[in-house]
Amino acid sequence: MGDYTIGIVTLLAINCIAAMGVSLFTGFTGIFTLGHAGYMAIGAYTSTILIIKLGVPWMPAIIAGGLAAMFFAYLIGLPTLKLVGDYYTIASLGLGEAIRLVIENWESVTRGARGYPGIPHYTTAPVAVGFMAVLAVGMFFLINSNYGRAFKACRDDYVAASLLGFNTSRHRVFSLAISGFYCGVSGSLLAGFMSFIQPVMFDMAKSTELVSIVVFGGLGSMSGCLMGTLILTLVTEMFRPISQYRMLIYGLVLVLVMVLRPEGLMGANELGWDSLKRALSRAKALTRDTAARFGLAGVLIGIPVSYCFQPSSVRAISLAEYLSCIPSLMSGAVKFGAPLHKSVAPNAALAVVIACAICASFAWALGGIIKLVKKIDDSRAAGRGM
Amino acid sequence: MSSLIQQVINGLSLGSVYALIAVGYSLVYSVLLFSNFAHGGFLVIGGYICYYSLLKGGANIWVASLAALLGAGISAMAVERMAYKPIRERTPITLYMLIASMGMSIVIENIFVVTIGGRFRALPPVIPMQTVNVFGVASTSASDLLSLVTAVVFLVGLQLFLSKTKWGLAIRAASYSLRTAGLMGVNVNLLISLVFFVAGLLAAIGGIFLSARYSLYPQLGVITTKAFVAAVIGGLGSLPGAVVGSLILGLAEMLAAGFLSSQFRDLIVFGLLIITLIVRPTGLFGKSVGEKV
Repeated sequence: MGDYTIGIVTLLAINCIAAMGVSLFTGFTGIFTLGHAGYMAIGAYTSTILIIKLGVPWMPAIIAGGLAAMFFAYLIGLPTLKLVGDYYTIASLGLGEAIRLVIENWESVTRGARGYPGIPHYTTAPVAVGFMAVLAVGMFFLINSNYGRAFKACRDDYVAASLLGFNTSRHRVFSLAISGFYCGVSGSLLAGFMSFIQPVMFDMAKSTELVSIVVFGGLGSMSGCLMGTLILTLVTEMFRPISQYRMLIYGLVLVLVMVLRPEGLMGANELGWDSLKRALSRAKALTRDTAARFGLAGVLIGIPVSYCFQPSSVRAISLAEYLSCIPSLMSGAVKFGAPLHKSVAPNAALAVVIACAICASFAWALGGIIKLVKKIDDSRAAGRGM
Repeated sequence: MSSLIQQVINGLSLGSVYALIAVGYSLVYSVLLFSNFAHGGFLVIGGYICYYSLLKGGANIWVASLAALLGAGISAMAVERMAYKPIRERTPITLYMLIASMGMSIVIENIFVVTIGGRFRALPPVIPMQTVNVFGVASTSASDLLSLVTAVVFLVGLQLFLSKTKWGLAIRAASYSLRTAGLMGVNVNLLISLVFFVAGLLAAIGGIFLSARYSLYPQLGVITTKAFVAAVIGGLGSLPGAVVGSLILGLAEMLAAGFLSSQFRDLIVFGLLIITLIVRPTGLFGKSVGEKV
């Protein structure tokens, strides 16, 4: 694995931890949030200050960062989660800003808007993945425990839940505190990964990214949240050359998922034998469908088609070479607009995807027409037979 | 003393602009029971329509404002039809509409960023900015007074619309129970479109005054966060509450900027929200509705 891949894996693990926190709060407890990057900031700054100013080893510092964020989330949650309604969501809009303002103006401790340099690089890939694994297992036990079921009950029908004797507001606050802990740990790890933190890193865009991941993966599914992190992080890496569209894509993900498939990628299902079997049987049914077969063929046709439409310098290399380049261009290791000889610029990845999508949709439509014609034929034949 | 009066006038003027935004937001909340975060987008759309019809279309301020108001109202209706209607017809879960509205707000903001760029633009000098002496005790800018007067005119107009007309009655009925209003023969889809049109229209006025006061840029819609906070302080879903909350917020913000430091403005806003939620969770005018099972 190259340095770049290791970096991506580490970043994935860090994002995943924060997304799990948001998933617990938004997916399982049903309260939308746009301020969770603020908890990441608290975690990052707490652990950084502990390590640099007080010389605390990194492991306890990460935990302390998580606990600080957890405490803060608890304090915010007490007044805002007392009532059912959009109170927390509105407060969370201001929360991220408020935390950023405090960090920027408290220069003696946080070094202000210019950022905090010189953090030791303690987040290696094994550390990040290890934290992710431990926290994921913890989350798995939490959502299958009494508390997890109580969270879901508060989300689905808080009246019924409170009639059954659950203190719903206390459960909401508890859920927020736990999700604050996850985000705090994630922020601490991010500080150790980047070696430099700045208030701008934890702005509204970061909060939006976390929420988009959770909504895309499926509200109420932890494995969906892991898959959402994987897909959205890789897609944004792949399309780095057109990064000005990134926020637009996140916004569209939120709207389109809500309008077309509000349950997201996984719905409330977890990745397991049952859902795997269901997906397999659905895929099997799809392969018997003529239109789908044509669509799949279209994807395969799309690769050489995109090769033909590349700039001339790409055509100079052989097809085999071009295909062998795909992993490297997927990883974005080559800079946009770099000379194309023997290596391919990442915008080629975009070309492959677009060409495949266009070919697939044309082929799908063609298959659909053929299917329709066949059906009419069949019904005619059946008519003659009668 | 005179600087205090000046800050109070500034605060009231800023608060009245917040009120225009918060009232539209509260109106939508009272009917559909979800926070329409795309509200800031309507404000930006109104601002840009006004800017371009002044600059490129050569229209005067009245025509440009009218175009901005209609444009923002119609785009609000379009957003409702495209993004919220499919959701509210399928499920009663308001969280989904909330998420879609947040997505919509990001989409609108970033459409402006990628098409015309994130540059700050100043509105042509169509709104008088000269200093006006108020009864010899303080001086303030004419645009502040103008925005105060305009806001009062439109808020009184909204009040008349809601209390005197048949559609106003229908909207008030729908704010108690949308379902029952539908059963009584109100065309619910038309009513919701109308509510969104009014909300977008009011937001556009706020957008024009805000872009004259500061400048116009795609992230201007973020300022609606303060209008949301004002609506919560006044009581979610209550129109008088939204107005009072906005005035309180505008005053607090301007007094903080004048006597403490302008960096504390946003912290004061957030602090007021938290204090309100601790002391009086339902806001000043909010009614705590007993849940029926």
